[in-house]
Amino acid sequence: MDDRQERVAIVTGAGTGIGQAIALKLAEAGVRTFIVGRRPAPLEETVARSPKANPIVALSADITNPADRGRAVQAALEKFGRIDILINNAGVSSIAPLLSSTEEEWRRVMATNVDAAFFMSQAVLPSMRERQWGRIVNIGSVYGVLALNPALYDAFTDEGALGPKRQPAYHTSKGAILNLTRDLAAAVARWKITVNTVSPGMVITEQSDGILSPEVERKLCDMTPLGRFGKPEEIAYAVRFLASDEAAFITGAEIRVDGGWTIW
Amino acid sequence: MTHPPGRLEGEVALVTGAARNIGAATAIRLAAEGAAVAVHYHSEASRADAEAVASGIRAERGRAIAIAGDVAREDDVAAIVAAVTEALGGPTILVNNAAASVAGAAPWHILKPKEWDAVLRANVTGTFLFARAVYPFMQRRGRGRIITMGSVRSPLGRPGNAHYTASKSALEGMGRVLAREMGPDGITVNTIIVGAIRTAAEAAYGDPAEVDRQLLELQSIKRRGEPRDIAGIVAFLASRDADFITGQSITVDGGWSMT
Repeated sequence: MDDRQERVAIVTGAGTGIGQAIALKLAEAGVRTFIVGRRPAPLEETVARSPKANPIVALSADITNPADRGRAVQAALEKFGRIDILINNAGVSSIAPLLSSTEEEWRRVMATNVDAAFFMSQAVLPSMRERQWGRIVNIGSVYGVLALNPALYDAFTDEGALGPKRQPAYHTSKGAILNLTRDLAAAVARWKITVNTVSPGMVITEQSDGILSPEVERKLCDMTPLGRFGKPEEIAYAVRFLASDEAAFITGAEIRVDGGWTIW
Repeated sequence: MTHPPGRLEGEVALVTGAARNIGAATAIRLAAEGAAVAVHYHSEASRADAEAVASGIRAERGRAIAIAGDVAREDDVAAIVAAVTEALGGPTILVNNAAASVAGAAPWHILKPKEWDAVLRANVTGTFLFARAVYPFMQRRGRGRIITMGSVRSPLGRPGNAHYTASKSALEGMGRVLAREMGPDGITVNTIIVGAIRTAAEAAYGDPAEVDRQLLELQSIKRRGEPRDIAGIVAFLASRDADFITGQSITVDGGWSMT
């Protein structure tokens, strides 16, 4: 028997949706789970749903802030003595007309989606190296490989002289995650740490339910071979698999959980 | 962090080419999760190994049969599926693992058209025939899994055995079409891009120590891949945990093709 019951995970952005589902599935599987997010209220909600026998521990921290990152990792190490699994899930987007989108917004998206994923990884690597075991799972997106087709959504309107509304920073950041995954995987394989990406497709969360119009929803489902949206747990199952001992030979890889959206 | 036991209770898995190596490990693994398993093998030479896999599963109180046939022949495939259905029930999980063995590294220009046809026939047509034969059961049930073994040779373009690589690339494209056509039936279709998994047959490539050395230089993970590394992801893809994954090619190669 290995020491899997003792394993410790950090999940970023785990107050809502996919991050919350990941934290809950890890905790239910016996992993001692630590969640990090900016706002305390949603984190507490995740904690409230966690299994009584293995309660999730919350720490509010801004992962784009180096001091906060250090504090979060230190707190996990002090409480549990080790970090074995890191799930870089926190992500933001910024939608604006192409010609008026700002550098500040671009930086904000990159800071959370890309910079924090790398520097959180950097912060936990020494503990993983010490134990010669580690799993880093980055949450990507089907938009790491696809451009946005505005015809599919209501929100991406044409703003005349300012051009179409888009979210280029988001697409860029999720593309970056795929190659960060590969290069980091190549770097840390020597310490028996794997790094992989799980890329969700269209997923309906409690937060996003009702945001899309019924017409848009139908159009998107019609373009998905499985004919429906994904559930947050379905992303969590793929993450749980990659974080397990069984996935030891998988590294630098991507698992898309998208109902076949990207092959349409 | 273990998976709930019996994830595949009530499923009937048909694993082609399951006498040894990846196929055998996969059959045993699916059985351990509760599936009844048909252990397919090709020729008389593999019978004893296939029977041993099946009886090993039965010894663990699983349900399994060993069954022979040529995947390249339509009537053989039909007979295999009929026999599996009678013994275990209609297949709900199909693992396309059988492949024409082409150990060695023949340059493309010495391949004979006859050899080319035989490899494409077994690997591509065989997969098509099996998918076609099991589809009615999966469709009726409103759920099913087709999991096919691709190869890292496709993305890498490794020199030698162009027929084998062509067949493995064909399976990926075909898999995407099947995923779209069968999606409405609740059937998922995925391909595993298999890296270098240690087998006895690889002696054909030369001195085993030298094969190890070369592969470990190419892989990021400095140990050889083992059949269980593939069996684990097959079990995941076969389970309800992977309900929303379809049309994918998932690489399991120890960080080889990414560098």
